[in-house]
Amino acid sequence: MTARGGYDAALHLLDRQIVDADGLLVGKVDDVELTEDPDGALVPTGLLIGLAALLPRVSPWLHHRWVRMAPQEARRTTPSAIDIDVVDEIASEIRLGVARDGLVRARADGPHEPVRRTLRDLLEMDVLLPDRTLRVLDVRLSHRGADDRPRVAALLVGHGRPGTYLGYERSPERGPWLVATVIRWWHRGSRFVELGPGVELDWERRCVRVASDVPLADPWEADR
Amino acid sequence: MKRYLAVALGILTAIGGFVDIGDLVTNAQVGARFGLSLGWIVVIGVLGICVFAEMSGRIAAVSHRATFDLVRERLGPRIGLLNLVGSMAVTLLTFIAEIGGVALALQLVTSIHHLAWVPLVAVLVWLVLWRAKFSAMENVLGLLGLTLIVFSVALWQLQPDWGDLGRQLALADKPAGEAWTTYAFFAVALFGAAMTPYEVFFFSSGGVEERWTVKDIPTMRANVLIGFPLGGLLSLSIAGAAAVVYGPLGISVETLGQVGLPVAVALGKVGLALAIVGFVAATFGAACETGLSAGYSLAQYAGWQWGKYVKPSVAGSFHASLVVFVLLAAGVLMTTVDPIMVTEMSVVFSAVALPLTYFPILVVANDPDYLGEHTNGRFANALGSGYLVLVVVASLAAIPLMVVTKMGTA
Repeated sequence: MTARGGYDAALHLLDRQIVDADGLLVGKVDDVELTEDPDGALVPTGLLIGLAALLPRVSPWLHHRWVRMAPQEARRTTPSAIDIDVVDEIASEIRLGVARDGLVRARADGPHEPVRRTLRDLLEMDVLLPDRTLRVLDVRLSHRGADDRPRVAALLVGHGRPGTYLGYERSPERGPWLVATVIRWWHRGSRFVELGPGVELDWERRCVRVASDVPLADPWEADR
Repeated sequence: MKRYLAVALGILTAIGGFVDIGDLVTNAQVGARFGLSLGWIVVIGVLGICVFAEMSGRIAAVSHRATFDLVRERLGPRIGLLNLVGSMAVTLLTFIAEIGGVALALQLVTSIHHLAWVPLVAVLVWLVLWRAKFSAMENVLGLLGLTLIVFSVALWQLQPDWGDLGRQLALADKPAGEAWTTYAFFAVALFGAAMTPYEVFFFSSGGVEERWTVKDIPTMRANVLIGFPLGGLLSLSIAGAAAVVYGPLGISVETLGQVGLPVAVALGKVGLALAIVGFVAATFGAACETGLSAGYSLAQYAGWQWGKYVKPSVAGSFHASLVVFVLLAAGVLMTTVDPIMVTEMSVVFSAVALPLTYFPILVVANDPDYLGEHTNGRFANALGSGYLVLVVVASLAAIPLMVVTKMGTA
């Protein structure tokens, strides 16, 4: 997790095991809550747990059916969360600093609550480049702001589905040769898009618009 | 001294624990029909399970992640679910077959119909899963399973033409009367029986439960690299004994009694008694392993608290799923389905499910985020990549071969 430029949300957070302070298992990270700061930055604020977060990632159709079986249940559409502040360490497991009992709670709902997004929303977006359309494959988080909180700094965009990089873009020398070569070939057209001027996230239309003057780095070169 | 004893015990239980109902039946069937001409598949399969069990054991020791954690982390929830459904289906089929195997072995001793034994065996398996100590279960059943060595002794006592057996093994000499498709079908079945995915689920989850650390890697390697190959030798002995007794007569193996008969021919009643003790221990041990493995994979996919060491009150969903699996297995067997047929199905489908389990293991075994300095070396990667190609081929070929050969009966 010490790789340059922070960590990747889909690779390092999604689907990892959450373990509480006593070593008991809490659940998997089924999705990640991203909150919009007043300055427009996206900050990960919670780990979303439960079928309401998992099912849309498995099959939106299945999720819809499941919601229709009990439409009165808000928790079937709005997943519950664990606050990111209780996370002690992000390694091969997500270790919490507190015990698991009663930990996963629904978020408050009101006019003064900040705007909340999910990592899944971001990962499903089309990325409209001047010459082609790609998809968001992963979201790089890094400590760039004045405070200690990580925030969404860049998008890894390309063809295929989120997570299919399997971490190979982070260390080009990683084996085995066969797998590394296939993945590198498959994702040969992928790019890093740094968030900033010229990059607009359109949550309504589920797409990212990238202006023609935004520099696009090649992820296979970036980490070297 | 204590350390060496632990290593020795681990190896012995690995030998006894390697053989399950799938190995018993498939090896005897193949031995009777093909002699030792498919023995090279057992050798390849055993080496393959060693390669991936070592990787998954190393990952468990360094990062404390069991195999199905990796499946979901690397394949995502959608493909992960596909693998969960496939692997659970195979593991539960095997679980059903093992419980049926114990019941069939008890029928051999008592002449009481195996259906009468099924409920009792199911309850016993559940009691062991719920109450018994992990190490006690492994050690007692593993050591009792060692009595299957009578098959090696029997093969030696049958005084076969060693030159001929060796020639069949070395040249992969297919009997003239058999079609190549049938030969390939049984090759895939043997490969699936040796590399069945529950072995890595159980092995890695057991490692996490016993809190292996980096220090345990040498012990783990010794268990895998010595124990599994010796278990493979047992498999070959079963095939060899069946080849010598049934081959010349052209008899095909349909029942568990037929699997044990060569021992009776060579060593008489005492040999047969030992063989049956071995059957009961091996299938009962494997029933516990497969039942736990099904629970492990489900809980690891969902993120539930799991573990045989964890009290039912702390790992409620996990222990509840074990109860459901035991009831399901007993229920399926009580429909009078033939456990031997369930076994044949399970080894073929296990070949289908292999790639989705072994691919994430290979990827994570190369990931320094998980393994630090203990990532795969060139040798492990060369073998791992080779086997990845092999399991993909086997999984693609399994169903077409099953249809074309009508499960080997054509």
